[in-house]
Amino acid sequence: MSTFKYGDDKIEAREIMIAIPSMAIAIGILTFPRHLSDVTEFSDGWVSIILSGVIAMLFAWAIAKLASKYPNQSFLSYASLLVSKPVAIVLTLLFSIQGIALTAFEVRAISDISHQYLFDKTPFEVVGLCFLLVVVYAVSGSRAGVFRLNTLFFPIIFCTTVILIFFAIGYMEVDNLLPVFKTDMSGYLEGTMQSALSYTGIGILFFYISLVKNPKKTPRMAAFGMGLVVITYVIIYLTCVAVYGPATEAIRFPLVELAKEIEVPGGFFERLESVFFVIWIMAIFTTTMMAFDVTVMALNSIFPKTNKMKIIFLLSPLIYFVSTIPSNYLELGIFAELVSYSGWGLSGTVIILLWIMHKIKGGRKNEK
Amino acid sequence: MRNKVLKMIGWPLFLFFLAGCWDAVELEERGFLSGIAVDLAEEQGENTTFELTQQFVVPAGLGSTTEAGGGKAFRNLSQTGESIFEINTKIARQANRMAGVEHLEVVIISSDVAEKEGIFADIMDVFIREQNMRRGTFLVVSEGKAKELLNVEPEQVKIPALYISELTESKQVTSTTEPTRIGNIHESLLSKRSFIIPDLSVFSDNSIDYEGLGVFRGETSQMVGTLTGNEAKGLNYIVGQNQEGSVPAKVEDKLATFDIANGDSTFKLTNRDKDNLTFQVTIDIGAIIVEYFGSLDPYKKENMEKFQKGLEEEIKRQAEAAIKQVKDDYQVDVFTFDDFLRTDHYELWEEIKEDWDAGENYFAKSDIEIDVNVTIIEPGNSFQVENEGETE
Repeated sequence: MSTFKYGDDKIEAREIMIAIPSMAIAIGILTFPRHLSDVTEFSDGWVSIILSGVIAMLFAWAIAKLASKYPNQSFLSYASLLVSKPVAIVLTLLFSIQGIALTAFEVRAISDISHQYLFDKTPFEVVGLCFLLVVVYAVSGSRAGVFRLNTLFFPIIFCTTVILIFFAIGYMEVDNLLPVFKTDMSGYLEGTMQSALSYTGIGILFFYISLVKNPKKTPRMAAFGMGLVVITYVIIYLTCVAVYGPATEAIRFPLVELAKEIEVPGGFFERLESVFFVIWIMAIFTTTMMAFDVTVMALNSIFPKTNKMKIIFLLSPLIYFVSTIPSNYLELGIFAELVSYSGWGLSGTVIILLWIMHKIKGGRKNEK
Repeated sequence: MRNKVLKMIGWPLFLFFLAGCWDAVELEERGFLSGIAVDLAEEQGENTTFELTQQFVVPAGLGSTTEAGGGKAFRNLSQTGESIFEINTKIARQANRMAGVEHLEVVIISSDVAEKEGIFADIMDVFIREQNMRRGTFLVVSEGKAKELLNVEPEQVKIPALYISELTESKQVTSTTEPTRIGNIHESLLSKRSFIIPDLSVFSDNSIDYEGLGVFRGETSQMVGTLTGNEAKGLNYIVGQNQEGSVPAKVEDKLATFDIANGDSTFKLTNRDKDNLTFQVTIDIGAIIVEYFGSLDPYKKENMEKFQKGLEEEIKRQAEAAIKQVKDDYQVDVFTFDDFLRTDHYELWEEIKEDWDAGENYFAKSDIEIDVNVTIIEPGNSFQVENEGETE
């Protein structure tokens, strides 16, 4: 297979800003209003989204800051510098396992949703396989191409979401949002935990910063990109609650139902959800693509002599196999939580560990 | 060379997989459902047996924009059974096309079904749960058999279900309400809030009458009665929605008809004792004089006040009639006081919400005071048509 070669395999700091929302916005965007409104009262969930969002922004900033102190070095090389090579290899392997799980989950989830709403006769295994094949195709090309695809898709995803909310205005009832601040402390905390699950994949920053030509600006860009996600989530959450009120917690995919419910005035378009489906599949595609790509990148850094294509072709069947493990929607939910929590746990532990080590020994050596 | 031949044969083979037509249903094989009617079956079994009528669109009857179609544009099929979805599969044995609910316009529930305790929510379940159902589908209640409504053939609309959905959307009369969408009902059912649904009945072979509003008790999801005419108008004045329409009122014993251009209502809680809650409802109305049988000159301030007073009294009378029927007879809160208490007096609401319009029924014990403010916006094109008394 011949692929187009870009001039260089470097990216701009701005592309990191776009990669963050492309990565974070995934399946979670379709389901989080349900989980969140389950544990908070009325519209109070936005507080939780912002709380968890600020934490996510802090993490993104911290990771980018650390990684940009070692410009153009791969995760493996600066981690080996800080915590010794064997530990760094273990961490990289953990990241690849997490990446495989995340890719498999996204593949499975998208095929389940398409099964529910689009193709009720096509077995989900077939949908998943097709989706995975496209992801494989995207990953096997140039890495800069992945980022350019993000840059291409992101405005489309963002604009369509704005349009969706615009059309939903006619269905909103302000009474559904009121009264405010009636949730107790534990509700907010639980909501924060719940909404944190939707900020997936901060871990990619550990790896991708090494591609940035001039990483000085990346911490700010990464935090800003996360901020975009927070704003999008808050707006979507408020829209869902304003439209559905108490029914938000009973609807499986609130955002999909929102697209199904709205009609463009004039009766010209009735079933808009097919359009929005394309867009959400794009959003989920970018997430899956990057999760896969980071996994390949991580493994490639451990085995630098192995061909990238070999790794991809070895991983794909594994991912496909993992994606078929959950047998029903309950197990899929557990899978989702496992993937999200492990992502947070891994990124969180690693960044804290690395920062401490950086302060202890790396600080003097690298910063002049 | 061999490689090239392999490619030439191999690549086109992939074309077969490209189409991916597992779920494909040709347009010609699709049957579009436009309306569903739910009735009680004549013969009842162990459980409640329903009769379900589905209205399919017949595209040939519709014609195109340039060419009128011939014959009927719809086809009604009925079956009986205990579960809605099961009846649907029974109907599939009669239908030659695959039924699709994607363009379902309206669901009609007969009042016989709606008045049975606990049945309504069960029927709603399939319309909310099934994957292809849209939450925007309209819901109406029918006096008499629901399937009769699907047989009414108006002249300008080819499909009865479409006619019904347009009818519920048109806003000219004060005694109607916004179309009720299934999504709204889901929300009300979940929070056990009482609600209203448009109530229709067959008027003649080619028209349907928007009779009024069916009133449902949230606690049991059961229809407790209907509001028609003045009571329905009074309800709208109090809720503060859909007040536009005409009101005839007496101004110094002469009839004057007003067209209400805008209106709003605000609630205030004046007594917080939960056994004796008192609500102060202020209704603000802006009206235009459209017809008047007397000769008062509305350009004079004292006369304008007479017009205002006449309309205020009439609206107050209608609102009080609605209160009497809703609060004293039906004892269910469809005035949205529950929303008001929840948003503005949350602590009190938490305390009484379980017994709001069920159990203790604090709603029925409450007092509602009506206060109407009318502004006459315009006196009409020509404000004096006949002259009485001295000529100038």
